[in-house]
This record gives sequence, C-alpha cells and structure tokens, in this order.
Amino acid sequence: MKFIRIYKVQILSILVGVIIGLLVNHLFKINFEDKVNPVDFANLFVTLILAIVIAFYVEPSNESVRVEKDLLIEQLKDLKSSVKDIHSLFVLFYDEAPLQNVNKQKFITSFRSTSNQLDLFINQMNHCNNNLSAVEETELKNTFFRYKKTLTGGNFNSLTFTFSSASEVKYETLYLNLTKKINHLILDINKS
Amino acid sequence: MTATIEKIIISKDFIEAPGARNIDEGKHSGEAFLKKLLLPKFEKALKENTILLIDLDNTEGYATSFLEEAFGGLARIYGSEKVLSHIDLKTEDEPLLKDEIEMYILDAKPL
Repeated sequence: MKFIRIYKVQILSILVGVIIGLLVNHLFKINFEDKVNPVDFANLFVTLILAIVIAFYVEPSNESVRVEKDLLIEQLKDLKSSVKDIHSLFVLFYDEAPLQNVNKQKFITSFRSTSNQLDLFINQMNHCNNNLSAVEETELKNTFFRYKKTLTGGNFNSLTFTFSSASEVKYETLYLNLTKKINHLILDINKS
Repeated sequence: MTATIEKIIISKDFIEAPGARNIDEGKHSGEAFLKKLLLPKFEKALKENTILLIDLDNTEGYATSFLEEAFGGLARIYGSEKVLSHIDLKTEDEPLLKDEIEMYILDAKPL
C-alpha cells in the first residue's frame, strides 16, 4: 500500500497510457510494420541528438551572448549620452567671458563622470567574452583624454579663462571623433 | 626599490579643489603643487630610491591644465621614465585618471 501511495502518479500515468493505447488500437485499427529501415532509424537518432544539443547548449549560449552584447551596448549608449552632456555644456557656456568658476566645475564634474562611464565599459568589455583589443582600448581612452585636454587644458581654471573661438572647429571635431568611435564600437559589438 | 615612504594626499596636504595651471593664474595651481609638494617629495624619493605615493582621491576633480603642469612639469625636469618608475598613483574615485596622468608624463618633452 505504501508503494502505491508513493508512486500513484506514475502508476496512474502508465494505466492511462495503456487504456489510450487499447482504445486507439480498437477504434482505428492501426497496423505497424514489423521491419525497421536502418536509414530511418539513424535519421530519427540524429534528429533526437540535434534537438537535445540545440535545446541544452546552442540556445542558452546564444542567449547568454545576446545578454552580454545588450549590456555592453547599453553601457556605450550611457557613455555617448555623457559625452553629449559635456558638448551641451560647451555649447551653453562657449560665449561666457570669463567662464564662471561654478561653470568650470560643471565641466570638471562632467569629465569625471564620463571618465568613470568609460572605465565601467572597459571593465565590462574585459569581463565578457567580447574582449576589446589593447589597441582599441588605448585609442578610445586617448580620444577621450585628447577631448578633455582640448576643453580643460591651456589656462582653464584661470580667472580670465574663456574658450578660444579659433579652436571652435577643433572642439567640434574631437567631440565628433569620440562619438564616432563609440558608434563604431556599438556596431562592432552588435555584429560580433 | 620596493618601499613606499613618501606620500602626498592632495585633498589633505594641498587642497580639495585644485586650481589652474600657473601660479599667476590663481590659487592652488598645478605649478604651486609641483613646486611646494610634488618636486621636494619626489626628489626625496629619488634620493632614497623609494616610491612616492600620490593619493588623488576626495577632491572636486582635476582639469587637464592642473594635471599637465604638475605631472608633465615633473617629467620635463626628470624625464618620463624616471618619474614613472618612482611614483605610484591612487585614484579610486576616478580610475582612468591614472592613465590620463601617465599620458601627460609620457607626452612631456624635457626642458
């Protein structure tokens, strides 16, 4: 009795299976071939193996790669938005003469925040399988440092500092270069 | 050369809000930091063949003008290789600051 109580679901399933089998046999009179074609058997076996491999290995692995790619792309979008914020500050305070201390501090704080976004992206990239090459990493960092140097170098933070109108094109070009690099990385990660 | 004897904590030993490039441009400049703190401590570390640890954390952030004048200035006097082999930078607030400063040191041309 204890055996039946423990395995009642399994026993019930077998009984239901036998009843359905008998009913189908009785109602539809299905005839089965006694001989089995070895090619058909091999075909069935290969299909079964493929189904198991796809279900347990290929699909989870694809899903895991997609999650990594989405995370990296999201991080790059945050970085791009942070760079855009710096450019917006530049557009807003470009004409201010001299640039007020409170506004100088806004630039410094924005650059620090962007630097940390960039560091976060590099860390995540190295943590995922999608490694950034040493050359690409150095190029990305140097493009950011050059942009920072152009905006906060020279006599930035001096009492009389104003952005140079002669360098306006240079500011714009470096901003576009950095944005272009980030966009290329987004596309490369998506394609990889 | 393994020991770190000399140490500079910028937020405590200098200022929390680092300023401009040169002394004549305002208070707490990179030049002032170089002359008053960085250069004497670096020379001591050099003489004793030790490492100078510079803690850049807990400040309001750094403009390139300050960093370039201080660290690039040091490299212009002693050369990039000597500076890089005798300083260690602590930058937990902004990890990439270390790479940025190293770039200014490497870019500095001797006087």
